[in-house]
Amino acid sequence: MVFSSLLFLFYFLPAVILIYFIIPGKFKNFWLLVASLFFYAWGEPVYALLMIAVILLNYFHGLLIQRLKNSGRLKTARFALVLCVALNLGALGFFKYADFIIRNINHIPGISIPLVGVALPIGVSFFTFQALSYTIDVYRGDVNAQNNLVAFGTFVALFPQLIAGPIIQYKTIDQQLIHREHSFDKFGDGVRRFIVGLAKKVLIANTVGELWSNISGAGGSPLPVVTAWIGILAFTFQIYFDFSGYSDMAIGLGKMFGFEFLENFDYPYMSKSITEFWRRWHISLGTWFRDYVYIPLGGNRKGLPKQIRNILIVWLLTGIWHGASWNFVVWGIYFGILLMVEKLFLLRVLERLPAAVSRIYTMLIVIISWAIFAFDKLSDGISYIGWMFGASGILFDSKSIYLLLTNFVLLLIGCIGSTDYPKRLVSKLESRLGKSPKISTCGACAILFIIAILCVAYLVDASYNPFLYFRF
Amino acid sequence: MNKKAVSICFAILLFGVSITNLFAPKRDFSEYENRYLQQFPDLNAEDILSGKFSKDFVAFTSDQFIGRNGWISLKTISDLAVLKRDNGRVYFGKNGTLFDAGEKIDLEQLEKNMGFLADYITLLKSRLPQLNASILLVPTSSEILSEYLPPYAPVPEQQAAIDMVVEKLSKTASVYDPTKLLKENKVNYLYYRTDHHWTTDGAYLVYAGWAREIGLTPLSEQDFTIKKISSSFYGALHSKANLMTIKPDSVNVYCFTDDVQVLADFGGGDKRDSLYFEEFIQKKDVYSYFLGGNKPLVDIATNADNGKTIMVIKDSFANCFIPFLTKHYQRIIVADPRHLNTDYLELAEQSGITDLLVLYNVPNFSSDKNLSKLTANKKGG
Repeated sequence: MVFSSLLFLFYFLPAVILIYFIIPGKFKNFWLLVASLFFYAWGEPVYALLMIAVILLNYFHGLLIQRLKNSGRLKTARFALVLCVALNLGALGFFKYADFIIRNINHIPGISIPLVGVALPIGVSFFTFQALSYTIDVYRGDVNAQNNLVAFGTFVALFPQLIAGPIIQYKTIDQQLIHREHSFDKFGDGVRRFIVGLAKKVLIANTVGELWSNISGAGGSPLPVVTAWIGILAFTFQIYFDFSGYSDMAIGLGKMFGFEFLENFDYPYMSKSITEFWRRWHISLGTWFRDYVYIPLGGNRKGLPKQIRNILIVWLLTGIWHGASWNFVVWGIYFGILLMVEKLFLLRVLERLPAAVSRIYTMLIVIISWAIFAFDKLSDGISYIGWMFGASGILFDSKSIYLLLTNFVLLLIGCIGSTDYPKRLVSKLESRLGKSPKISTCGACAILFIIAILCVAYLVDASYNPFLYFRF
Repeated sequence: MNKKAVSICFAILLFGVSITNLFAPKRDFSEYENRYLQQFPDLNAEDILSGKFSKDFVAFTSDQFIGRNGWISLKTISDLAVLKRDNGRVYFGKNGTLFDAGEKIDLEQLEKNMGFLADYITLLKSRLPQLNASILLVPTSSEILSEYLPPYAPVPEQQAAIDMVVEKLSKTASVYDPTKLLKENKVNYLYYRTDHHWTTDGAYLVYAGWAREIGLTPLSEQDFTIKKISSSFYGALHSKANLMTIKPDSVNVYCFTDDVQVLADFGGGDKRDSLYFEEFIQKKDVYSYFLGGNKPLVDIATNADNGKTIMVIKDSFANCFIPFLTKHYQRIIVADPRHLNTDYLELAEQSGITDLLVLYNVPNFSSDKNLSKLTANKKGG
């Protein structure tokens, strides 16, 4: 099930909220767990079993590791951790990467292994990483093992962040799983956040997504420069508004149920370097790789050669995390190399340049990276980048003008929406209206209501509501 | 901002819509979209495990959503407000004129189709040496009413396609290009605004031009009384547009002032003494009033009594054109290759046709994949 659907909004969510707030506190986690498993089972009922297996695997390993540590058997604890990590990654590998690996091995003459052909379980990369963070943190002693199976199951399966993040680290909501506050203040904040996220996904991402598939699906004939740029800008906005919209919805839903999740996006398209971009884009993934791969490998503490090796490993993994095909590998390494170049000298240069120049530099790098990201076939991505820089020999044709005329408002909304100006405008308005809370309340309600109504209209129309993250 | 008020507003929206949906009566069919709507799916273990139940239930939630058409209109209006001028299916032109955004000219297919047609006519002529063959390709509204299109909207170049046909097939048949005539008269109501077809006025205009071209004397407008049969026609483009504020079209029929008798066999035992299907006037698809829509084969006998038999190979554009032929031919055989699988050579030969007319709109002729049927049996037969 996805948030941006009538099914979720008008069947699932009201039922979950209603019962959640009627039942007494001690049953709330259990209800969330049941609802989350139902949510997960909706598309592929069988995979609810996978989810339960992941919960049980990590729950018992957590307890085991804790007990072994308490009794001083550190080596055995370490073995249990390695086993647990291997099993988690094994499941992830089987469901996500098996066919990719087999396909590549089959390139060797004389070898022809049949494909596994399993459907990718939604969000498997997200919840596997969440579960791993728990077991590793228990081993490290950063958190105590969770004795309550229901509370632990709720952490792994919690539907708001289940399928598209943020990747919640267990230690950040350890306390909240047992004690969390529910209030109108929190609920109202959650509502606002959820509606903003829904609008980002439904009103902007889906619409520019349609533009992108219109342009990228044009059958592979060379595109004029202007059309290629309109297309890649559309994809640039689609992926940001889709992904950050999902995170907003997750954070908002979490708030409604009393959770406080960490932020996942911080206006990444305003960054002045790639280094900064990756501090602002999909923060929970970057943090995860930093905490569980980069730093354990030695990070930057063991000299430059080792640091370069570590960066490359992390970015190779980051790339492949996004999907099982070569373009994601290239995409990850592309960023790895750029981050190294920035670390070595470019960052110091960028700091001295005017902000506008470093922003244009950053966006140019990011936009090119999306062209690699968007096409499964690496060669398609490379020819698309060629068209962006004139390989077709045509600057624009009448279709480019049409696309520009009919989409510039949308692209402009995308531009403005990618910055923090709207947020600053709202808080300015709020502080100015602070003396007349009635007006600000009515205004907020009216605006959110209109946005919500528009989202519903777009969802009912629903001719086009693709979900991008089934591949992660 | 009072968070409590926001929470309550949200709850009202969520539960209000949700409860209304639960209790609202369910609809079976959408006239507007011309399809059956998803009902509450069967609840059984097999469908649940295979995922069929969840898929159907999702369709159920949107198909049966309260006020569905209103929401869809609202979406279209907001699209238009941000200056979008198409929804991937139609272009929203000036004055409420809709254009099919899916029209295309497939040059490879066009080349093939010209080949099929040339072969077919050549073969026919070898068996029926007296045959008069003519080809009439009608441009659609996007070509004729281009100034009503959104600026720079990409549409296929129909004139170029017609020129190719003229060049390649003029030796085989008389090819009539009505573009100039249509453009000169474009102030008239030649195309529906909400449907991809031409109006009866458009068909009459081209009929007269075509008739002169092939040496017939066209009937003049005085030979008809023009009757408006509907002023509330919402065509196929309207269904694709998702916009309820667009004004409907009106549909005319040209009735002969003197007595013309027809006896038409529409196949399947449906024989009538009229080419018009009154029952469609009250339905959504008023255009099917003409010849009852796309029948595979229609065999029409008239009281023209001149020994002339014409076979029309056609798409739906011909449906409102064919009534004009009833004064000129005593038998009219109407065949639609998209729906009729037969030996077209035999059909023509056995009927002893004296005339052949191929009538398509340009995008259809350039993309239809059924014209190979015309010569499919030439080796075996």
